[in-house]
Amino acid sequence: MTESVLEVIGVTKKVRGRTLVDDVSFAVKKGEICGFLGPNGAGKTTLIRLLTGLIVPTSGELRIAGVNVQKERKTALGKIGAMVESPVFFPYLSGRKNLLNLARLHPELKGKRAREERVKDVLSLVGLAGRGDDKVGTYSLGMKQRLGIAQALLGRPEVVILDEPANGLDPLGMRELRELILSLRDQFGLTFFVSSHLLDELQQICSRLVVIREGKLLWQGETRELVLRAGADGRLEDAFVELVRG
Amino acid sequence: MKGLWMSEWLRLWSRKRTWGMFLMMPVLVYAAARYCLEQNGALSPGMPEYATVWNFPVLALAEHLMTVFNLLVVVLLAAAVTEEARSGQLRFLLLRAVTFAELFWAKWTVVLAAVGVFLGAFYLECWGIGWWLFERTETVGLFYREGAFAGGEAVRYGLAYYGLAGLTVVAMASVMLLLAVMAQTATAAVGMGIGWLLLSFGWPVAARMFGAQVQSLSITHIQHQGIAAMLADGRPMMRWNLGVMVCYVAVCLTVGYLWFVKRRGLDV
Repeated sequence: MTESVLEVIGVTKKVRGRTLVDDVSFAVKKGEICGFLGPNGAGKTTLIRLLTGLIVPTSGELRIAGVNVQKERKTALGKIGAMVESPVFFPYLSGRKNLLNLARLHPELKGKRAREERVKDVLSLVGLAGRGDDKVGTYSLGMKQRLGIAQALLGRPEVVILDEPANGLDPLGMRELRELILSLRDQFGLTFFVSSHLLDELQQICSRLVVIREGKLLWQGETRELVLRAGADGRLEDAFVELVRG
Repeated sequence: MKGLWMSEWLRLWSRKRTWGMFLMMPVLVYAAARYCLEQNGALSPGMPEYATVWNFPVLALAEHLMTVFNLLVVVLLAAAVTEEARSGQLRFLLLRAVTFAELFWAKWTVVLAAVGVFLGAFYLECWGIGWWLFERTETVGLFYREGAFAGGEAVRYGLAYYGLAGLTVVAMASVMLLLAVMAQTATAAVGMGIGWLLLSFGWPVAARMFGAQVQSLSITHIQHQGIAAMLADGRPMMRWNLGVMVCYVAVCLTVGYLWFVKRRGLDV
């Protein structure tokens, strides 16, 4: 049986008496690309912030590769690469220098040469090798998204968490992003947990889906199971709407 | 922690505004030198205010400490703390194996180290420009001290003055750090910082009837008169002023730290 590398166990998050995430549990297996869906305000970004240790849960447990995010935050975050909301880089630095600066926070990248090599590798992986020395302020949105994925890959993570990575991308940019995610999964066996509103995109890359509504887990399972609800040649969007409307 | 510190340090020095302020230092020193040369015309040699090579670094710092160095910490902290937190840039750092507490202390110590570099450069530039423009007199007068002092003694006095000035900037920076952590935008952080400076300027006037100790609750008052008083014969204000500065640092850093860590890096 394939091991779970991302586990959410009975997680609840309350802020000022309001329940943003309510007793949610699910798991993602190694090498899976798992889509994370929900209407606006469903609690997706809150759950992603919980997973990345940016906020702490009111109750429950989150584990990355078996490591508890609250109890061993540093170790757990060492196994994650993440892009939460729109990537906001330091605009006065080039793409390469942004990554070099962030690479200093990865203890496994010891020494200048190791950092430079890794930055060169990830820039090349996301197709930005030729623009690495340009200031981030001059990048298009698609390039910033790709740089956001590059920074997530710096520490050779086991799990990559992407929050709305296709936001604002044109069709070509979306296609490039989709191909990038699939190739990273195939080349390095990475596990992806991707939140998005672009259901056609998710349908094409995700083998599994987790759906939440009003902070509660609504559905989890294989993508094709959910799509079948909308008929034999159905679309994920139709199935999702039907599911959310109840 | 070393990697985080270096990352903060390099980012601070990658900003044009940091270099802009750094490159302004010799201009400010030169302006102070021209002012002192003009003042010398109306003073007799041997007076503490009479600028020579030996005491020019102290006179120049007294001229610029309250404005330039205090504004420097306001700008550096607003950029390093408020701007990065509110824009979402801190999130990139916190998505790695970095704790909120480590980030807080890295930012604080990096800004202090940068101010130390500015202060050190200012001191050396004072010597460079002072050597070129001022007399090398045999003796020099020092504030609140009886007698005339040789150049070597004046240099030791100058170093002590710079050390205490550095402490006042640390105390001011702790207040500014608290304001930077609380502010919603970098502009608000700068505005609140300038507001605090104006309050500090006004306090000694408002508290005049209560005496020097109450007036010295203002850090800018310590910077303006207190450092010289601390180095006067008998060191009359040394303990009080040091106590005031320690209180500012302890209270502001504690509240700022708790605010930053409890709010999880200002709700990244």
